[in-house]
Amino acid sequence: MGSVTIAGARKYYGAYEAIHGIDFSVADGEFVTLVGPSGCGKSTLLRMIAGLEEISDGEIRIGDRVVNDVAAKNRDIAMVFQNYALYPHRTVRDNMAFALRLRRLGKAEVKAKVDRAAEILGLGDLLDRYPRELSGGQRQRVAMGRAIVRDPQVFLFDEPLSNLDAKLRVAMRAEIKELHQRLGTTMIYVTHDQVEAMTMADRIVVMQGGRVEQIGKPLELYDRPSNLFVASFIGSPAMNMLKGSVETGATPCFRLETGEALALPAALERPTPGPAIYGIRPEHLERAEGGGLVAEVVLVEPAGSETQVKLRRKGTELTYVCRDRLDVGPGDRMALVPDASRASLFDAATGSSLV
Amino acid sequence: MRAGRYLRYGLCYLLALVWFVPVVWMAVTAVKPTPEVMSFTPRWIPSEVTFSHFGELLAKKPFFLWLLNSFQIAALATAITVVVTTFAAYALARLEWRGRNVVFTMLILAMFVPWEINSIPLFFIVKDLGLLNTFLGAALPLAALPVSLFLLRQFFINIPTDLEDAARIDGCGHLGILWHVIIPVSLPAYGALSIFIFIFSWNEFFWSLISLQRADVRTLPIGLKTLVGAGDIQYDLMMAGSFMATLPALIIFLILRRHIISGISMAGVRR
Repeated sequence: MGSVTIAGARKYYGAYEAIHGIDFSVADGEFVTLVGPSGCGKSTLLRMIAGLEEISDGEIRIGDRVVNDVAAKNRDIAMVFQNYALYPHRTVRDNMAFALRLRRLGKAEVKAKVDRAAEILGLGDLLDRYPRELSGGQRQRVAMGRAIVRDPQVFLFDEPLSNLDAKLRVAMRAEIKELHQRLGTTMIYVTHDQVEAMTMADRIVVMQGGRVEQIGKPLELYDRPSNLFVASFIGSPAMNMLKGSVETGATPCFRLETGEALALPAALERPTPGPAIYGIRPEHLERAEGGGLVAEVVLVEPAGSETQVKLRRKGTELTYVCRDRLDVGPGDRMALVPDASRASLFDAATGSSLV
Repeated sequence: MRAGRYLRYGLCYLLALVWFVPVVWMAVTAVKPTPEVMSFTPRWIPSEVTFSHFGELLAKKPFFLWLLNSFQIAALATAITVVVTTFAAYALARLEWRGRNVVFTMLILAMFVPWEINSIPLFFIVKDLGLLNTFLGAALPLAALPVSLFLLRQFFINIPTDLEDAARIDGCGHLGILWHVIIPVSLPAYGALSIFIFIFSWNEFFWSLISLQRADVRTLPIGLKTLVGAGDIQYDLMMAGSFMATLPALIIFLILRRHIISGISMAGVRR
């Protein structure tokens, strides 16, 4: 069973607490990404799972076994590192075979496993080359091959694509996802890139400051962020945040600081009056003939499939994404209304979602 | 810009000349007829080339014994250095333990203690160990130079930790990491270190003079010193001997210089 359970895991460096009691579990065969800004503790948590960092408190289980005191080599995991970590003095074949030889597997078995992994990853022609003779993408593929040959219960990926250029990153993203579908092994994948997290994962764990902010399926996080941090971290371009307050009464509405009234999010059942933040994704704004939010266009970025428009209104920046062709330019004024059925609302003091 | 470059090159050539002239002088003197050796004015180009000094030296003195002794001591010092320094540098570069930096600083500070001061306690230690007049006694202090530790530690420190982590997951313990990853990756540093220690030991005079007192264990530098008598210095023989003594080290350096330079420069650069 390749499930992973993390219960109350903490990590201290001296008096500094890097991981603040994290709980979640990863089902057998699931693809989970840990995502968050630099320094949020995601890599530390991954290294704790791998056995490269000690667990100060709490428990980590792989399958049914508590692995707190189990050495990395005995945890039945494989890890792919950000800068590949290929042994520079060994050929591709020897890099992949190294772990198997240490386990004293027979020559024929080692060869069979290496050949199979090479076939899966299309590395057949590169087996006798040294890492320095490979491109970035090929190196990363070898690093994955090294993980595959061990046939582990869990694969751990520590930002494996961040050293690759944008195009290769997209290609390798698809390869890793295909690999997961083919092998069906549990994968835990660390990245700071929310697009990578969204496109690859079955579930995402969003982290900040050594804590879990939200766990959920990619679109759950996108549509129903549990707090301001998740709302602004997930999604590119980021969600628009408008300050104001909820008004109840005859016609409940959200009153912006600048005076305009917006329809409350449809999902909000019992509005309570008070200061709040109204969140609306750029693609959930619509052009209005009159009324709504009137703003001045600052920048137009046509990307072909969509056009991104940056606007400014009374000191607030807004982003609008339109799938149709737009005929506006800097200096023009546009009126926009949010789609209340897709809007979010957050408590101004705590940042948690009110919807 | 251009003037600055000429100046830099000029300075480099001047420094090269300072090193090169005595070597050439040694080589020329070794093949000069004896009367010209001490002649005033000195002659750069001898009137005739003679190899008689070499023959005379080999006939009068046990040159090859000295050579063999020197070689054995240098090889022994190099081998011990490589083994001992590997473990020490690994512990100081890659293991976390309390007081690590203090220990390293103390070891490095030892570099500033002059060799002559160390020699007195060293002599008594070696004597008490019963190692006077042995190659091991001559080689041991040469194998514990702080500079070796410094060179190797700096190299080890710059090896990416991911490599070590990968090896740990693949199934290595500390010895496995050292053997399978750190040492193979550090071969240029080992090349530089070995050559440095070998040449240092090959040329070493002071400690060998103290610790090797019997004639049959003399090294080359000490043997050549016996050519200096109370009233007579046999410069021709000495230069012929020195020339032959220099050759092995020079050849090794010329063959391996690329490794030596890359090993030394990589020790300080993050890759």
